Amino acid sequence: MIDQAASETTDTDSTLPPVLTYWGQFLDHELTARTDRESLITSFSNAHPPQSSSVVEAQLRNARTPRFDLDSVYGGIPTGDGVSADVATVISGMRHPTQINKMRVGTAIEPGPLPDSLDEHRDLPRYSQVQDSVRQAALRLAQASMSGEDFAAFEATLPLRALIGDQRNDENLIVAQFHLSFLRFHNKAVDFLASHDTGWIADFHSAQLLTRLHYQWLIVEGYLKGICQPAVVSRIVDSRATHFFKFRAEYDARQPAIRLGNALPLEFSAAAYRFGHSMVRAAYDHNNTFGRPNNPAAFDLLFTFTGGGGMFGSPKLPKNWVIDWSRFVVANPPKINDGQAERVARKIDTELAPPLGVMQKEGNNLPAGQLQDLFKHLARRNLRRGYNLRLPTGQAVHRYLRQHGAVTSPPIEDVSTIFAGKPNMQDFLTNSGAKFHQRTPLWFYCLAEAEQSGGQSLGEVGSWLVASTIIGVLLSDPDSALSRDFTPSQSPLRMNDDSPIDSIAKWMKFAVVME
Amino acid sequence: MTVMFQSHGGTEKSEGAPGAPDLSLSRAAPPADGDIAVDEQADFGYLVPPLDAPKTTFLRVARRSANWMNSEA
Repeated sequence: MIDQAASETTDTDSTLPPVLTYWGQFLDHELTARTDRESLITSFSNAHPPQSSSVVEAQLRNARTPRFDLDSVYGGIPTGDGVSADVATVISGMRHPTQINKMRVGTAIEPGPLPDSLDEHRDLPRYSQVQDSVRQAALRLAQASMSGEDFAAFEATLPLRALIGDQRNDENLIVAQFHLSFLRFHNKAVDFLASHDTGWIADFHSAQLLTRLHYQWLIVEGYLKGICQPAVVSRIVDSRATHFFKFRAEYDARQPAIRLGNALPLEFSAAAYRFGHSMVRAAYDHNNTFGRPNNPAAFDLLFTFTGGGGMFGSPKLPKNWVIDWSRFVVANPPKINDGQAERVARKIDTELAPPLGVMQKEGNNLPAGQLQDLFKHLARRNLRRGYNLRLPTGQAVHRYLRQHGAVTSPPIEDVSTIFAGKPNMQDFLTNSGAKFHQRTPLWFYCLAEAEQSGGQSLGEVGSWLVASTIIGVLLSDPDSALSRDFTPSQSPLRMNDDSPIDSIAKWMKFAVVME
Repeated sequence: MTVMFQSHGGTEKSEGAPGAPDLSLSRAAPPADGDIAVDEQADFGYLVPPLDAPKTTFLRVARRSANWMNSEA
């Protein structure tokens, strides 16, 4: 599954803008956590036998609130049993120290230049810029949640770490810059309300509410309709995600002793929604320094310029690594064909970019050997995790969805038929002994289904699993944009030309992170 | 979840007495202390029943498939 070619080619490019890859990662961090960690429920080192499905349901808990409430940006609610003042201290540290209605941001430093003529406040806020009480509170909380090795690494790099609600959003530079756009959008909303006669109070609450509503509207209209089959998205919206709520009701009936009423499908979290891994490029046209007309930004460097990556010793993000979003957000960008990285995501298919075979931040605390190799190889991790969590096969999911009228396409009974031009893949699937061609791991099935239809979107099963879950989550929140039929034209926030903020490009421009 | 400190991967901090994993069905695992899931926990469940039905999951086979995730297909 790892593409062995040295660089992306016309065959591997989609027509999807590359922002969708990292927008998807941001959304994942809003909804789920813990499906990718070693635990008693899912352990790579003890793969056989996996736990029964009832144990998985009873024991595997999601560590995020499954709502698009931007708790990754604002932090959660710092109250509850056993919650100390340290939690409130860290969350308060995310706010601007003097302009209390705004969020704290960081400042990019030399060497430059910036990729545009905008301001230099283009880094995530980092622990080096806050008072020591916030750092000490963070250390106490982190120590309580991490293994000794993980905490030692965290403590050693604390000044460089991002002061944000979810450290995963500083995993790579693109998702970090995407996160920054939310902080800047919020702050710009405060300024906009203060300078326009809208009837709204220009305070934190108004800005947070409007940031959430615009973001939630864009999830459906910009993200879902970009990566799913639009007809599937519309069908699920029109049906008010009835199948999703049926799933939750059935889960609650099966698990009456532990139900919390907010379950997410494992088929989404541990399989279908990992499709974004196939869209990752090996190199990006990041900005005018690390991109056209110079060499592109290699994928590994995008991990280096993060809090956990060391930034080559720089205490903050260098200005010349600030992203140029104009190279990332345009739908159906024209191909430039100059031999450099194109401004598109890779196709959604069964081929992953080479760096995903050796992930530099993963498995480094393990001894060299097969287990470390497994942690560093994204495809193997996804497949093993799905097996450990006893996910149903792709064919079984299709059968279930078709029986319930959720999908109409024919099943891929023999997935090897898709790979006529890949004899090694075909041979493996057919002759592995496990009949993977007919009993296909769900993650692989979703990628194969997308590949079958050209790789420009998910197939019907993948589209359904992703759209049903995301729309269901939005509709389960009575105050979400979808529940309230919010549209950008209703918002007091407008672009300079008085048009509504109704695209991700306009979101970036409003946030003043794109010219 | 209020603040998430741990990045991808890694090992879940063990909860309860060392060496005594509690896999009983009577209660869910509590939230990890420092992950401070103070507003609520959340569930994961299966969309497709019946759970563990042989026709919906993978075949139990011998070694080659046991190591299938290590293949470079």
